Amino acid sequence: MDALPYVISGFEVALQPHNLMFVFVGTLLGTIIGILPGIGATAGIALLLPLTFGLEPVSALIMLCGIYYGSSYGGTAASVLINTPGDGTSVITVFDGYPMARNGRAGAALAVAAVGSFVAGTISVIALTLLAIPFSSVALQFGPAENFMLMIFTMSAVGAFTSGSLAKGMFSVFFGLMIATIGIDLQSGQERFVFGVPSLQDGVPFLSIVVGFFALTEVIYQIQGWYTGDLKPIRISGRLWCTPDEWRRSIGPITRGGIIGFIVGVLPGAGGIIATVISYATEKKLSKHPEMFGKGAIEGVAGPEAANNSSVSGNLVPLLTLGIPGSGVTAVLLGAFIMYGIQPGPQLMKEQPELVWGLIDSMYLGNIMLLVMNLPLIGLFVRILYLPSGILLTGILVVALTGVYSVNSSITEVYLALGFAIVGYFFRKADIPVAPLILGVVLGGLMEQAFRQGMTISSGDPMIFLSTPVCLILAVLTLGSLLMPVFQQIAAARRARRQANEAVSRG
Amino acid sequence: MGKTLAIVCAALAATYLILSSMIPVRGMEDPVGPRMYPLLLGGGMLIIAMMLWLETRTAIPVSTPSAAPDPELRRRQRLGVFGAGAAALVYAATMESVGFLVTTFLLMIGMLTAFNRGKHLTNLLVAAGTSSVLYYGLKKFLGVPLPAGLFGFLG
Repeated sequence: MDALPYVISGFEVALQPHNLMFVFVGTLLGTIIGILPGIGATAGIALLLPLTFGLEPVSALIMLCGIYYGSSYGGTAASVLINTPGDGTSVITVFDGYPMARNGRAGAALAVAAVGSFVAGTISVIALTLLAIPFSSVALQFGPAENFMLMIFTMSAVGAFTSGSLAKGMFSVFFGLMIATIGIDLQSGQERFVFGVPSLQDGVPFLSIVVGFFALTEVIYQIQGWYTGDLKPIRISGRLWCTPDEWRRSIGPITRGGIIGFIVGVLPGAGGIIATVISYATEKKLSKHPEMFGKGAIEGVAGPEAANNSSVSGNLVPLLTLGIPGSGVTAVLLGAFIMYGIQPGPQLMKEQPELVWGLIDSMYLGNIMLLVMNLPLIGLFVRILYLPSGILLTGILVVALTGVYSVNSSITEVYLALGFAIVGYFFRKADIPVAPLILGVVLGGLMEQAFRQGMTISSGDPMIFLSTPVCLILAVLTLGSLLMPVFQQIAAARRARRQANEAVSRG
Repeated sequence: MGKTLAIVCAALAATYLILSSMIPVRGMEDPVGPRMYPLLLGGGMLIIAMMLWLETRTAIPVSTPSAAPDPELRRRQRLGVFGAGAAALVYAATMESVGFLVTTFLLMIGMLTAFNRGKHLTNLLVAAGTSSVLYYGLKKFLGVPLPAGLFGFLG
């Protein structure tokens, strides 16, 4: 129990009245953001990040993390009541949550999701607590070569697994890395790709990128959606609780979902969506009545919701212990850390343990607050779904533009955000994932630094990046993550050809 | 769409490579210098352009949607997006000279009139409330220097 003294000191930070308030505000905002269809944790954090700048770093980060895991609670309501997931991680909940609502069991679906999220969320924070020190101890042994290879692996995994196309994922990563090269090179003092614009000398502002790509692109999509009609939520009827039989059926899925979510969340590139898919498939396979899945099986809500919430803490393991984000949301969170002048990773755990453990412990408190808030008040929160979309999209636009301007009082940054919104719109049109781009932007500078340090140590010999067992393992994992989608595509093409041939021979 | 993306990617890679090759390198630097890393990225992007091109050739054809999108709907959607974009640009261009409070109120009332039609009183209250809360909240509580513009006397 090496972690125990740190956990205690972390609670001293998290239990300070102002930090408790920020846990509450973060989880409340997260729930609301999660409920709003289409706006996920990434866009929500991007939108609210500038407004946290006057706060102490630990309070701001507690609030931003609260938004992250709070949104995974809120996303359920939109899935269950309007058949539209709040974000990608709630997609699976639609399959059985919405049929449950149509059968008059919306209250039960929301209750099992809230309790399941609480149980799994707590399991995963315990796992994060236990793994934080061993992970960071290993990471402390890493030199520039290992760090470089770790970043290569993370980016290749995120690029390969966040979309159906390896090429599009890698395009997004490289586009982000290219953006990160803009500005003055810190080692030589040489300007690169600045084109005489003074405000680009410090690099492209991170906020303009995230607000443009997430919040403002979402506004464009909301405007388009406005012309196609309104969403009609199902009213919650009956008690917001499950029957004893429903609870009995949910215990197993919640426990399994919690474990699956955490393990998958730790892996770079996998994240909440894959965790929910694996959990759903597992529950369907284990069920005595698989035919009920898709028609309102409570196991189909309990497992994925638990996995979704649990993956949040899993995602934070590489971010806090290695300083490497494994998903779009954690990349934005890393950007927030860096903007506060904090570099997460093993050194941070050693030098500022009160910050890291205060943050981790705030998640125990946040999960309790979310449970208390969500069970009695979910009926109140879902009224947000009745808010006219015109008011919503206008609000997002104004808060986004104000937020970007307010950080440095720079109109250039507002123009940049508007420009990135257009690029983000075409990314979504072309089905190019944005998460790898954000990862490239955030890690680009660190990656170049590690590359150049490694090359300096080896006097220009690139074999240094394969010189240790850790480097070799990471190289093999990188290769595996790049080749797996290629094999999957070949297999899918063969399957499609076989089906086409069978159809021809039958016809 | 796939082939267009591959061409855009190749053009981006080529431009980036040309610009990278123009980065000056002095003698006494580390073995890599400020140019090698961008050159590697540009080379990587060229390979990705080829991968994108190859993906369009090996892609599994998907069935086309049964109903074509309504051209009138698409025209109105485009109009809405361009209108909002133009409003945001005008907002950014005038915010510092006219002031945050007035420009934010005008942007909101314009957007709400377009996308929350017929509810004039609600729109007026939402626009006035949001712009005031943002202005005074950011300025007084977080100390953000938002431009007062023409209405500096409001504090």
